[in-house]
Amino acid sequence: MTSAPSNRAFERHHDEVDITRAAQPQTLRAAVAMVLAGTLVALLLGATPLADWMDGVALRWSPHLDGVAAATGAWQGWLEPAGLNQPHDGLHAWFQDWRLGGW
Amino acid sequence: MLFPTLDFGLFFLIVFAAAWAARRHPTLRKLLLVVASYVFYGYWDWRFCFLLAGSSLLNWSAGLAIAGATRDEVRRRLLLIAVAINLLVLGYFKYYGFFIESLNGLLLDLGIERELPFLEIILPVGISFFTFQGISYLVDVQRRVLPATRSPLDLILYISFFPQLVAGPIVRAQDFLPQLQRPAEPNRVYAVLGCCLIVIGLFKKVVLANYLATEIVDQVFLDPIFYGPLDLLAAAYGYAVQIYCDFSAYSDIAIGVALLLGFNFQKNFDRPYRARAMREFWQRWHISLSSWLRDYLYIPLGGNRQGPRRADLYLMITMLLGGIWHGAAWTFIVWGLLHGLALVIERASGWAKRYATAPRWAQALGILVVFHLVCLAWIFFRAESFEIAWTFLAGFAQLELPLTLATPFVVLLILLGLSFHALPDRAVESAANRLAALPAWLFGAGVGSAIVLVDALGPDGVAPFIYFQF
Repeated sequence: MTSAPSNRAFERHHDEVDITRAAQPQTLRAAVAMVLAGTLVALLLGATPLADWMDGVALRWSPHLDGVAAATGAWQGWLEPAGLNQPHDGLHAWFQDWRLGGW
Repeated sequence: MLFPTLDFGLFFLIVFAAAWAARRHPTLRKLLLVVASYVFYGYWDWRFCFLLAGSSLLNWSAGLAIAGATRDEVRRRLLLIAVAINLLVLGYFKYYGFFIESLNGLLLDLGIERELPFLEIILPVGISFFTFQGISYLVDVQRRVLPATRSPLDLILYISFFPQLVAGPIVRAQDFLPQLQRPAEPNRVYAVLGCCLIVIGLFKKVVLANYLATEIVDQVFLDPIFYGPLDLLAAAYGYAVQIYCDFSAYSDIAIGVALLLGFNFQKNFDRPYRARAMREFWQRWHISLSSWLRDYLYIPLGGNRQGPRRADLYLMITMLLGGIWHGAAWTFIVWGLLHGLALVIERASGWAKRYATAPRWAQALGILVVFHLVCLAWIFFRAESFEIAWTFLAGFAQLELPLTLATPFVVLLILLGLSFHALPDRAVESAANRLAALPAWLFGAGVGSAIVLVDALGPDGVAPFIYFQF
C-alpha cells in the first residue's frame, strides 16, 4: 500500500467515466422549473400513493401529522372527481391483473 | 431512507431548495449538506451517526498528521496506523461474527470444546463504502497526490455526502474535494441528465429488480431442490439481471441526485454484460470498486511489475479481498476466487489482450462465455450457504421437475434488463441532450409523469437495495 505508484497507475480515464462529458448543462432557473413542474404533476397524478404514504407516516408519528394526513386525503378526494388519479390507479390495477393472470 | 420512496422525495426537495438557496455561502451550503447527510443516515439508526462522525474525524486528523510529517518513513507509519484503525473498525462490525463462528468450528474439529463468545453486532449501513473512501483519502495524501484538507467540514461532507453514502459509488477525495473548493455554479446544472438517470434508476429498481426478486429469484434461492433446470436457469439469469438493475439503479439515482445538487460523480456501471472478456467485465461493473482495488491494492502489492506469476498471485489476492469486502461468508470468498481464477486463465491464454481485435464471432462468443461465468459466480454470491449453491447447481440434472416459476413475465423482465446492454455508448447523455431542447416545465412534467408511471407499475412497497448489506 505504501509503494510509490507510477503515473500510469493513476490515469483514471476521466473521459470514459465522466458522466457529463457529452452532456449539456442547464441553468439553475431551468432546473428549479423542472423540479417544480415534476413535483406538481406527481402531486396531481399521484394523489393516491401520496395519501397512502401520508397515512403510513401519520401512523408512525401520530398525532402530530394527523392534520397533514387529513389534508392529503382531502387532496385525493378533491382530485378524484376530475379523474386525475385514474391513470395511476387504473394502470396499477391493470398491470397487477395482467401479471397475476398467468403471465 | 430508501431512494424510491416518498420519504426520500420530500427529503430531496427540501435539500435541493436549501442547498441552492445557500449557494452564495459555501460554508453554510456545506453545513446544510452535512446535516442533510446525517439525517439521511440517522434515518436507519441514529447511533451510527457517531461512528460516521468518528470515522470522518479520524481520517481528517490522520490526513493532517501525514501531510505534516516530512520524513517518508514517518508518513508511511502514520498511514499504516490510520489504515489499520479504519480496517479494525470495519472488521469488528463486519467480520467479528464470521471470524468467531469459523474459529469455534475449527476448535470443535480439533476436539477442543470451548466456545468463544459470540456477539450479535448490527452492521452499520454503508460502512464498507465510507471506510474505503477514508482509506483512499489517506493513501492519496501519503502519496502526495492530494493535499490534506484543513477543513474538517470538507472531509466530513466527503465521507458522509448522502447520495453515495450507503451504496456508493466509492467517490475519490481527489474528485470530490476540489468540487467543494469551487463555488456552486448556477449556470452549469446537469438537471436533464440528472432527472433522466433518476427515472431510469427508479424503473430498474422498482419494476425490474423488485419483480425479479419476488417472482423467481428469492423463491428459487430459498430452496432450489424444488425446481427443475429451466427454473434454475431463469433464476440464475434473473439474479444476474436483478443485481445489475438493483445496484446500477442505486448508482444512477445517486449520480442523478448529485448532479441536481451541483456535484459530479463518475460512472459506476457501463453495460457490464456486453463484456467480451472478464477483464473488460471489471472495467464495466462497479467501476469505482474495481478501480479502487486496482489503485490501492493490486498495484501497491506489485501489480504486473514483478513478472506474470507474481501478477497472477496479486490478482488472486485482490479478487479474494474483493470477495471478502462484500461480506463475511465463504460464498463471497468463492465468488472472489472464481473471478480471480477466470482473470488469471484469461490472461494466460492471451485473450485479455486480444479480445478487442478478435473476429466478430469470437467477440460474440466471448460475451456469451463471460456472461455465463459471471452467472455461475453469482450463484455462490446469492446463495445463503455452500449447501444451497451446490443444490442449485446439482438441480440442473433434475430433468423430471416441471417448469413452475419461469413465466413469460419473468422472461420479459430478464430481456428488458438485458436490453440496457444493447444501448449505444453514452445513450443516456445523447437522449438527455435531445430532451434538453424541450421547455423546462414540459420536461419536468414528463419526469413527474414518468415517476408516477413507475410507481403504478411497481409492486406495493420497495425492498432495500442489495448493496445496503455490504
